[in-house]
Amino acid sequence: MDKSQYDICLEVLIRLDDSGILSKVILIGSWCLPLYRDLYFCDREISALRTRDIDFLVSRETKFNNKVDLPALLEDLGFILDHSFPEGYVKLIHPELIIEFLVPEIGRGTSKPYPLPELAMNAQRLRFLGLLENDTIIVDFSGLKVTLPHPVNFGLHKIIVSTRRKNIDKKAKDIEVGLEVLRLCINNKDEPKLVELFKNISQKQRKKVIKSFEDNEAEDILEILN
Amino acid sequence: MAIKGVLKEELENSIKMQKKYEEELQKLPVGSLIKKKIKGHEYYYIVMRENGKVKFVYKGKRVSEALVEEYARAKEMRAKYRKLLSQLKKQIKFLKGALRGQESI
Repeated sequence: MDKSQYDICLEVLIRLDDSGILSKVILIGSWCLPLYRDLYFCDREISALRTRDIDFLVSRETKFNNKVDLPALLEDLGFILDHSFPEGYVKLIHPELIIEFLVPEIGRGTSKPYPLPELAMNAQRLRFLGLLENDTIIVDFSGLKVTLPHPVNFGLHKIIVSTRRKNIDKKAKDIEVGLEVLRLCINNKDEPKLVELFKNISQKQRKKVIKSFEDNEAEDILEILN
Repeated sequence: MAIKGVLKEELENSIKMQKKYEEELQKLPVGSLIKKKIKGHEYYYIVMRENGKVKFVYKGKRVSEALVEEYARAKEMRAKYRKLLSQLKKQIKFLKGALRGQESI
């Protein structure tokens, strides 16, 4: 991890922890990878390819006890608020990091952002995030307790999301990361968890995942699922 | 392939960010608040550049604490945003170069 990026990430996590936010959110997205590598897969090689986006998943049931003005809390670090137009999502941006909150989309869906008034922020609603909040692990990152999706859920989520991607580069990245994480999970004796999770997703999703494994020469994973 | 996609995304983000930081800089109050001592008396001025010339705008013998704080914060944020802008410009240069294949990744 780049030193200045690491420092800024750690400082953000410390401030979220001090404000009582960190324990209420799940760190998702490509920032999970270095934490999985260092704290779950015991330093096994894992792709370090990631963007600056650091995404936090907020469960719909989450209640924040304190009111925290997050943009003000991070202002002195140089973070500024960025509004997407016309959707209205807000992000906190910095040359080293882009902070965004996400919430699982349910029902018919809407393009409106999900308000998080306690944090003076809002969250983007996305499909399939429920898979990431169903099973989580807590890792110790520089003395902070950070909640991450279980790597099996993370890997399978990447594959499911890849089947819906229109952007070819993003699709390729999701498949690459998803397969890499799932293979590491298998080596880490997480096979039963993968089989169980696969059984629990919808039949439609199962078909798409199998197709994706077939298209990407992941017979080793298919064999386990069969 | 995936690397190229990530670089493209990062370049777009950096360009958008550069615009946002420039907008934030524009929002900050212009100039700096200074205190001059003239014949034993203190006077406050806003010092700024206008068409390449330094201009002093008289603010009075006393100014509110809020104004002092506003200008102190603006000074701090201006320095911070300029530093981050310079970082972004370097990122953009690097990413454009990398996408053209002229720089090692």
